[in-house]
Amino acid sequence: MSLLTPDLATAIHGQTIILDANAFVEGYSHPVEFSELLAELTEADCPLTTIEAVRIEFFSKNRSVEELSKKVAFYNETLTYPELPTITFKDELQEPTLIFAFGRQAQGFKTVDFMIAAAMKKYATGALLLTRDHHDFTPQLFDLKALLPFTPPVGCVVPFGIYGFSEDKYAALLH
Amino acid sequence: MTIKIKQIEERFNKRFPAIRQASLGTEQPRKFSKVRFVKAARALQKVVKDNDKHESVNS
Repeated sequence: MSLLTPDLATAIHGQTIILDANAFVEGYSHPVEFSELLAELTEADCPLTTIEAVRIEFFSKNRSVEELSKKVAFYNETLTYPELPTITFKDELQEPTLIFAFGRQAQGFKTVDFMIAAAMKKYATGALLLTRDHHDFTPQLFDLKALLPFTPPVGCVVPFGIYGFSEDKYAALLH
Repeated sequence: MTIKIKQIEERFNKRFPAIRQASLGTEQPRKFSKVRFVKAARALQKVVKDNDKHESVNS
């Protein structure tokens, strides 16, 4: 079953998709179904990438060297565009106003999530986020472009969101 | 000591594929392959399962 409607595929056409760490976890847990979603996104000409901090989070816990090695190979296979180094959005990371706005809308404050928000602000016109974390990326700062009911072969439906950074909501949060 | 650590790190890192990082935004996206993605995910799943088994035997 297709998750991207033709209208949505048109709306997000050419935008770069930043993958959250939970997308990688879901990806290797249910690879066949998740590969369908990623294929649909790339068919809409959306390159798949992420940021350094997400890689570090995804690679953070391993019970063997072999596990980390396979994780690296899987990570490389998932991205169609090289990961975004932190230095490319370092100015946004240093903005106290962004820290303030992100902290106001998130349920908790996780550094990795804030770094994703900084990258999204930097590339606001050309980047979207794919995540199942709806607590720290809320409609107070981000526009929910679509909710994708990802259905693994076992277990419950996982609602993935495609979010964009909203300059208007950012300005409103600073008042 | 530093040289020894460097040598160990180099030997260790040889086991890992390199990570590609964007530089000046000139990179071209490569094509996504469902087959390669599923293959890499299955390889990771297998290691995770083996580690689970190993842990449950040892506990």
